[in-house]
Amino acid sequence: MKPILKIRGLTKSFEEIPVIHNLSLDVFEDEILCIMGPSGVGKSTLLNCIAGITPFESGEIYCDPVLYENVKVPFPFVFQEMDTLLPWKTVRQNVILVTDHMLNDEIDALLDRVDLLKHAHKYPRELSGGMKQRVGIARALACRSKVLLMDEPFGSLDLEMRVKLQDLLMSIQKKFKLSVVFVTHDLNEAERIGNRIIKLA
Amino acid sequence: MNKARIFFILFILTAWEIMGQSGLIHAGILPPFSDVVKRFGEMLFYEKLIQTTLYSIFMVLLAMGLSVIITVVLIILGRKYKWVGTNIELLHSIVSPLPGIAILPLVILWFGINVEAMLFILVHATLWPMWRQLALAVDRLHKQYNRLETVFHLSKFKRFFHIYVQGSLLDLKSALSVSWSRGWRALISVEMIFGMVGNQTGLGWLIYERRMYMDTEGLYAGLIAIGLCGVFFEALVFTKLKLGRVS
Repeated sequence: MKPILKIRGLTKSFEEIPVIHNLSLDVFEDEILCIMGPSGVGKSTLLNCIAGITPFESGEIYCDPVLYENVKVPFPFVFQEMDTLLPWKTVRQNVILVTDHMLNDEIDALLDRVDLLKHAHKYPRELSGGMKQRVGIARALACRSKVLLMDEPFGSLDLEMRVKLQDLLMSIQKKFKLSVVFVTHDLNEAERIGNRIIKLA
Repeated sequence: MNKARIFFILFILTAWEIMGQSGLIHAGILPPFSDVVKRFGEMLFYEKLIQTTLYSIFMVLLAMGLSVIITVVLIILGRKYKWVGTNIELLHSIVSPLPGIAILPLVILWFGINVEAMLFILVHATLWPMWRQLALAVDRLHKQYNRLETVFHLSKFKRFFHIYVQGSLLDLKSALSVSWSRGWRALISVEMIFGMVGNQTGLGWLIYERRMYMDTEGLYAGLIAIGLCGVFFEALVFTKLKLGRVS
């Protein structure tokens, strides 16, 4: 498999306390890479560094040029917090917000894919936790990137909903041949959906 | 309005009427409520009460419109340049507690007695509560959606309009309500001092003038008009205003 993302010697500190030290890893095409580790080990920080939210002191992140082809957002993110949806916008409007080029039919197809087409006109307050996370996934998919960063997206859901969304994620990943970097605390979840598991310590 | 409130208002008005009719208090001080209503009707239909009221409302709304524009500019500058934000904060803490009437001597010195001076005082009264409320709203929105903006590379327009403008509509509603009440109070005080500005007078001057002519019924009628406008805008217009769909 070909690496789509190469991280070399990444180091990130907060107030001179190193959180990530000299980390190197590859993310391959068409895989779900699960990142595990105890709290505070830098799992979310790693995703933030990849997405460009957090600057890092040293190291390199090499991206395959294919990631930037016709794509405005190369590293769409599915957040753990559900309050990143804009509450004054409907499901459809939340998805449209991050994309400049999608046609209505394409948005419908995407919402249908995450089983939200019937709820496209609803506001986030009218949705359950699982539905909100599906909006988050649809929003990230609307960016049409080959990479998806997910920071414990199902952490606050009950077991049944988790399993449903894991199945949904796996089917989406297969269909769009995505490279997913998935942060989780849950070993069962990592074993179930991950092609590879990396444990940060 | 609930029954208890209606009952309370009716009780006050009845007591007022009885006191006025009893002759215990001179009519020059407390005329019967019925005489005030009659005078109110006369002023409404045969004098310039509507015109005067509309002028006062127009002045406050104009000042609020200017305040909204200035607030947006101040917030943008404050976010773009940190030192500007810090200085606006400082200016707010110094200037905001000053009632409009307190800066009146200075404003007369700068502008003279004219519409510009009146507008300056009204903008001073309406600007600061609006800026405070909206600046806090923008801070809150920035903290909550900063990652979303960065990750999804949202354009400046999308950030400004879809997040900050739409996200602060409820705060704008409450800011407008507070601004209105401060502006309305300032206007009445300023009009009582300025009197006629240009070729127009407002409600403040009207009640001042009625007192000079010992037209007590007219004075009460003017006060009722001031109270009704205040309640109408603060409790009805800005409270019922449909801004945003999220509560």
